[in-house]
Amino acid sequence: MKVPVKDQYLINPSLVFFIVHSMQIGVGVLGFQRYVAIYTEQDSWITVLIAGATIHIVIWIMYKMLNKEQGDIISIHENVFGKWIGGLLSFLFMLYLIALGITILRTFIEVLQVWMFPLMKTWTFSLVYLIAIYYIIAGGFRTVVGACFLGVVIPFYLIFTFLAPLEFANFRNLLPVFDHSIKETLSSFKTMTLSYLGFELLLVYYPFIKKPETSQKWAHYGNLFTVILYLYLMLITLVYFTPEHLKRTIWATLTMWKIIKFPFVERFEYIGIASWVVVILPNLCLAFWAASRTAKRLFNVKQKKVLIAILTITLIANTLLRDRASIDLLNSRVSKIGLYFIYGYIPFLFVCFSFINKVRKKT
Amino acid sequence: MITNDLETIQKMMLTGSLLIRLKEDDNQGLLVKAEMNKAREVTIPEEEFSVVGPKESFVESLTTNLNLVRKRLPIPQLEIKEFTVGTLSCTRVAVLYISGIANEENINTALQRVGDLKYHQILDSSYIAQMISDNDNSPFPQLIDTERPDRVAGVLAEGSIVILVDGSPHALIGPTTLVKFFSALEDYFINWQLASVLRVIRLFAVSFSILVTPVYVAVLNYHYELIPKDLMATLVSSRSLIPLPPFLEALILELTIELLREAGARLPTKVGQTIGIVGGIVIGTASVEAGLTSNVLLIIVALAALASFTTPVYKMGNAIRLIRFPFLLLAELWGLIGIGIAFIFLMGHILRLTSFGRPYLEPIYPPRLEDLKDAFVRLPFKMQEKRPIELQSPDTVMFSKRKADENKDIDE
Amino acid sequence: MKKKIILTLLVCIIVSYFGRIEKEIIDELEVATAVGFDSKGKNKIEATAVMPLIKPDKTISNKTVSTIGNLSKEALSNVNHKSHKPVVNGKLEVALYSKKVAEAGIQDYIDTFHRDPSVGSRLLLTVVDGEVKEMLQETFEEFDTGSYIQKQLSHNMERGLIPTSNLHLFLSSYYTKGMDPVLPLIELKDDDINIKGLALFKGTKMVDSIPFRNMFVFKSLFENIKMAGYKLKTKEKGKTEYFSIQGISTRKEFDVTHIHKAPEVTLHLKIKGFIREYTGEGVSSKTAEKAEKLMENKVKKEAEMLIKKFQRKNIDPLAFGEQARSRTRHWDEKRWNQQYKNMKVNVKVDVMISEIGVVDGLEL
Repeated sequence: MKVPVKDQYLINPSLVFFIVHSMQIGVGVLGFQRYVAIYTEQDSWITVLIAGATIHIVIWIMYKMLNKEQGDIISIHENVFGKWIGGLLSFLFMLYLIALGITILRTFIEVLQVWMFPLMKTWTFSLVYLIAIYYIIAGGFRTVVGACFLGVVIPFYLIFTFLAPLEFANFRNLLPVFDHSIKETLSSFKTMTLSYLGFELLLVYYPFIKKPETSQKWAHYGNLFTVILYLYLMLITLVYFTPEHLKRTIWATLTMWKIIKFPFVERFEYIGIASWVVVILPNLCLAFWAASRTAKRLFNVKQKKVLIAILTITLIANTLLRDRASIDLLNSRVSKIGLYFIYGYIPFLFVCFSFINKVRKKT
Repeated sequence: MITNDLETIQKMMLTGSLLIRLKEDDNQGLLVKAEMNKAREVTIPEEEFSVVGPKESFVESLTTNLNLVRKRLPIPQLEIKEFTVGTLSCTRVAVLYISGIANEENINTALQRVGDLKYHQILDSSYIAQMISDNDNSPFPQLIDTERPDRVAGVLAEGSIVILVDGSPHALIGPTTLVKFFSALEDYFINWQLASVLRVIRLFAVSFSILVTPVYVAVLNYHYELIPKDLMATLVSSRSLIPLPPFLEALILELTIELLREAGARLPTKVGQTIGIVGGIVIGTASVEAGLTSNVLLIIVALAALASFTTPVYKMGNAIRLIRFPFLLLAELWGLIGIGIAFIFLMGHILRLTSFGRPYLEPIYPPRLEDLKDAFVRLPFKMQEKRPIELQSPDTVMFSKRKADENKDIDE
Repeated sequence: MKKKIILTLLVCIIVSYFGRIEKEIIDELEVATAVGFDSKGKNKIEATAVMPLIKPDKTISNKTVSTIGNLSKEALSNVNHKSHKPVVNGKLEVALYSKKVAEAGIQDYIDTFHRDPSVGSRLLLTVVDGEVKEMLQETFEEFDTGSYIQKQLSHNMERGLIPTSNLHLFLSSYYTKGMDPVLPLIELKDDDINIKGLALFKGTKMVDSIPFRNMFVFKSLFENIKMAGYKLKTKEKGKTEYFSIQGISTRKEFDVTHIHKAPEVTLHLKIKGFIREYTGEGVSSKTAEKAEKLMENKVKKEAEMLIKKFQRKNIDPLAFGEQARSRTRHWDEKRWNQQYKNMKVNVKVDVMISEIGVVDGLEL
């Protein structure tokens, strides 16, 4: 069942690279190292590679499905499970997207409150940020993709700043290699995949790609770039911190910036956090765009109105989350759902989908 | 022209024609154009002056202006579509393009937008520019206005569309992109390495001009940790006697600069120069000595103002000076984070902008690597084989490099 | 359109009213550059903060505030009571602990700095032999005391004999198994700051120190030296002769054998340098050879002596444990700690004098 999208709203397949990559890079980058290093210490970089490889497989599965369907997750659901159950599943998917958006924004505000402005009110910042998001999403999918593109290109300079901590690097920290059991690796693998979440939105924007079949390689490149970036960051973190020190550092990336000293500026973490305002923009725009798009397809309502409703919910939910404990809880819940979604649900859907297609072919 | 149509007769006579009738009661007459066109002589361009290159500029007469363009493009494909706009002013508006090079869709958009104009009076091309631009709530100009016929000829050959208005020495060029506003015609007259460096400097100057005062306010208000120890002494000592908070200090100085610029622009040239000197030296020094502003900020604001004048297109310079103020406000509110927020609003706005329906931020977004040859840098002419993708020209190749290279060999 | 404008205005007003946050305007703050802690009787801590006073003519003078409290945090927050502007610690350059405080353990103080995001990772920590307050109240040239001490220490780390250290490195070596932190030990001597030696820590407690004369050997064992000087003294034919060897750069390499049974550490130390001064008869290639030999012996002896001392005190500032850990799978920390005391450590020194200066000392 093809989902028709007007020609002028389609995007170039190569831009999928930026969409996939920008959605994976978010607030998690500021402190993902610790959660992995708790289990695997100096071998954490191996986990980064393994987790990245499995994501490639999931992307491959998704393209298999989508290429056949030429639609999005809503049409797949309808195709496989019928109108009502399929619709319900799509609705749940939409809720997941909204929760994802809330988590990202609230976690970022927490970073702001801890590192810069302890007295900053959650709702004022959320309000302004959500207005910016509304403004961008109202420009259509092309503008959202533009935000993804600029959200990758503009903060790119930050990559070079991570070379500064190497002044105090101790490369012996990486030794001995392969010193952890499979069980430990698996536990760290689980937490690492959370940092790769975000590519699953492909299920929603697939019909917006011009000649979507050709975009598969770009999606893989995008993920590969994320893997390389995470690997780079992880290696630098591991040589800069000793494992025991890293386990006590919640935001390792930010802590690394603290060592930077230029003749004209010191303490780079403040500039880093300010740049992160741009980095998380694609995350939020894409998540809320996908959520409102799903709602539009499900209930046949105006996307603008749904978007306003979703953003209002986000604003209220953000304000209600007050302390670190509840934010942490939300984070772990959402990421768990994401984990089951990509490793459990997508393969399951794939099996159902191919099964039903085969049955239909026979009849 | 022999006619008996009363309406035509009236119209023609009002625009300077003679009616000759053989007998007094003839209802037919000969209309002879006998308008007196008092126009300025073609002079040196003032706004887009360049040291090297031609020094002709448009004048207020459409006929002369068309002639200036035609002289540079003596080909039959150069098409001129004329409209009369304005119920009272009856201004002649000409839309120029080269058929076969300009994109059909762009031509239609331009023709339709100019044709649909309903207004009583058109005094200048900037009226038209505001009325036909895609988003008239934007501070950014979406059409380049130029007073140089050579620039017009250049963009016509690339596939752009030009609008000339009678009574205005400015031509409008569209569709255009943001980076085009930072390229001066002089970039093509000097060798490409130098031109590229100049363009990069210009872009740097613009971002500097937008960001430097807000960053000053943000850092002094919230992020003292960022300042290195040695700089700290300079900043603190320059600020220690000043009663105003950094934001007000910056705002007052920024407004002073705007005031100076405005006063300088309104006064005759010679008096304007005096104002500049009086304002710059006397007010600046006096306010520092009186302890109203810090000398560090004075340097910063003056530099920012200077940097904003580097844009070759005057209207872009205005836009840049304007968008500095929201940045300043948000910097006062939330420090560096506020600047980040202002930046994403700006980003969203520019992403949404279009010019004649074509994306404004091209070639950055949508990313078109080929168009980067003439964006942030200007590569040599031999690499400028193709017309920019932005303009969607049906005839993409400007000249073939291979043909030019074919006969070349060592010692030949 | 009208609705949009009203809405925008409303949002602007609401956000700019409720969104305000506490400002820290640079000239309305007292930016502390150094804090020091003295022990005052039982459980009482005296905290001293140094703030530079920058005058409009750019001269800098010193301001110190001291307060007494039960905890380090309490003492620090009391500093605010005594100051007419809020005291902030975002630009702290050095933290000084008196020997007494260091011997009691600096866990709490370090935790405060580690937890506070506004404290930089380049903060230098140092132990003071004597009263910290006295040292901080001293004025030095055109700088404030904090910057002065920081400058002196950091240049001695780059091209002197103090092992590189800062808050980040201290935390790393404190948290790491098989590694103990080291801090410089300074004192106030004749109105000048004198580097007295190094304070050796077990965890966060200072347990011992080494004097200045052993610092060259310690630093060469601790890290690769880029630039330093060393003086040799020999007795030849009843005459005392001095060599001054400059421009020394060193490289060290570890080798750990028999890790599982009885570990044995071998240290290869390579030293390169050139002779600057020699009080004996003219300098020639022979003298260089002589100096090489002498230095090899001396460094080796000193190194062995130091390592014995560390083993006796059961501290590991040279990170032998870390070396062993990175060479073994499933490193057993407990067993290592038992073995450490009686472990055999070999030191192999190789000195190369490459130049003898711009004059050839052949006798004319």
